[in-house]
Amino acid sequence: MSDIAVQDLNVWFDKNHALKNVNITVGGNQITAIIGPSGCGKSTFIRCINRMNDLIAGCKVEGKVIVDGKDIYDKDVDVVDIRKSIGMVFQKPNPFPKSIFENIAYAPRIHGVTDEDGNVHKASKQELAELVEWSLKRAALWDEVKDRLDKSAYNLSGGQQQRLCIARALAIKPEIILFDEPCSALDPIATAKIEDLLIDLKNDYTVLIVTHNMQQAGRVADKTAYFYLGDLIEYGETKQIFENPKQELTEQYITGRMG
Amino acid sequence: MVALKSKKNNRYMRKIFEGGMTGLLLACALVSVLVLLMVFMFLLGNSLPFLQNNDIWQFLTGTHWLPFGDFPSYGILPLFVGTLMVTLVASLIAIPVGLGATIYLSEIASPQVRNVLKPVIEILAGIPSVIYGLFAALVLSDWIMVIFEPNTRLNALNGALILAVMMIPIMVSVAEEALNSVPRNLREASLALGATRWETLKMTIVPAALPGIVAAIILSMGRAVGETMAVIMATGNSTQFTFNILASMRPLTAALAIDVPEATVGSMAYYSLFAVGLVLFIITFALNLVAEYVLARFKEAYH
Ligand SMILES: Nc1ncnc2c1ncn2[C@@H]1O[C@H](COP(=O)(O)OP(=O)(O)OP(=O)(O)O)[C@@H](O)[C@H]1O
Ligand SMILES: [Mg+2]
Repeated sequence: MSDIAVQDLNVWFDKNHALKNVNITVGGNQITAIIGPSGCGKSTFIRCINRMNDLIAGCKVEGKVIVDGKDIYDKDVDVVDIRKSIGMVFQKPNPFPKSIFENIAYAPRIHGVTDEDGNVHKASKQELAELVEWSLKRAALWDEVKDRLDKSAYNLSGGQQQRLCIARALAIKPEIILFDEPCSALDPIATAKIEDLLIDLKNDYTVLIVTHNMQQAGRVADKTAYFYLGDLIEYGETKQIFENPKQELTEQYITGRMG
Repeated sequence: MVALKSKKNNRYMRKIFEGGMTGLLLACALVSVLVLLMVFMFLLGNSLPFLQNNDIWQFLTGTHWLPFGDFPSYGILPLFVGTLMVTLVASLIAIPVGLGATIYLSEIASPQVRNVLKPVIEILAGIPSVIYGLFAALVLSDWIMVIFEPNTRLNALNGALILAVMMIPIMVSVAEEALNSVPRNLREASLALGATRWETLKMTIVPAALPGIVAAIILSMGRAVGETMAVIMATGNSTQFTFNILASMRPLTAALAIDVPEATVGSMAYYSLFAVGLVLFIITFALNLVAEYVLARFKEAYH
């Protein structure tokens, strides 16, 4: 799976310097957690990886984000291609006001499907149905919804909606999946389900997760990066970050001595 | 004990208050229903003397509208066709232009452009219709003369065009509101899946905003059907029965406004005008039913 190499990344929102010279390499087939106090730039950081910040007026991004040897901020890169190969799951579940089936089929309908030879063609009914089933199974939601695929996604519980959003992201067959506080609106049981799912997903994907919950980072992440006021303060094995932080700032945050 | 008692008292007061509020709000809702009912009863009651003494079929399909004189004829078909033609042609122009303008305004225009255009459109929606009528009668009619060379300077096309101009700002301001109120996180969900701006618009934003868009269309069509002053000034008011868009016509509203001052209270002509009003009322009512139906179908398809 894809490594992500971020080099000298700087982000401004108008005059606000939100990310300062960030350098980090995120490995494939593992989970990387992004932690830090509110407003430190966690969301901004992961939104740089699929160029969602491009949408914000007044946002300026400098530096490189290299995925599969290619800088996604290069001039000749089509932003739509980037987003097609990177899935994103947001803090609040945001299913479309459509049926469960149509939520998953949304992206494949737009992009078509790729066959074994790498050719893209329009998705047939059969292929869509297969892809929907595969995605829902992969997101551990299939058994709960298989009898009501044509019902509105809004009838699902919050945790189910979030797994639906994960399934929807999986349906584009990404290499990388970005999670921005995916459990912050969920109860402990729904959270545990998503965490199990995350651990399962890392076998096939590069996973980045922003979280406010340090226990969660400890449970799921292989590596952890700590941001503070737009700076990447420390990055390393999760165990080391939590048990033996090298930076004073990290230790303050981990031990709860920082608000 | 004292604390508990006062708490109980509080709860009692709150119950009264909430009950009162509920009643008050219900009363407000009922008033609007009541007014609607009263308008209907008023129209129906006053048209009854006419409807009982005349052939309703003749009334609806007669092609001569001559309510006054010794040999009156109460055929509203020419008026009905006038309303229909003018509204239809105006809608055919206003709906695509209005929706295009809405999408431009909410999805494409830069914030600076939007900040100028939005207030301009709101002002356009507030201009008195007599001003639009004046413009149609004096300016627009000249242009139509040059381009289409009609037989009469004032004609249905003139009326339709000015109605379209009047419909657009209403439609844009309501529809833009609808597009804007689609939650931002739906937009982000779509874009993050690699959909382009257009695909996002087509597959997410417009479907989610459809109820508001339909409301905008119906509202502006209702305005066109009900508009009186501008069409009186623009269409020439001939009561001939024709489907020629370049001919002079008199829509239902114009007939009411022109003929009411002439009618002696209590005469058959007087009651016939209430019947015309009733027809107008039914048309707008039907328009709203159509909207309800479209929205209900849409909800079925969506859920
Ligand atoms: N759309 C935006 N427009 C302007 N400034 C923004 C925008 N998004 C973020 N910022 C600014 O960038 C900085 C980093 O914000 P970001 O959302 O990345 O923080 P975060 O670490 O994700 O915080 P939280 O934990 O509260 O989600 C903040 O100072 C914030 O005000
Ligand atoms: Mg955030």
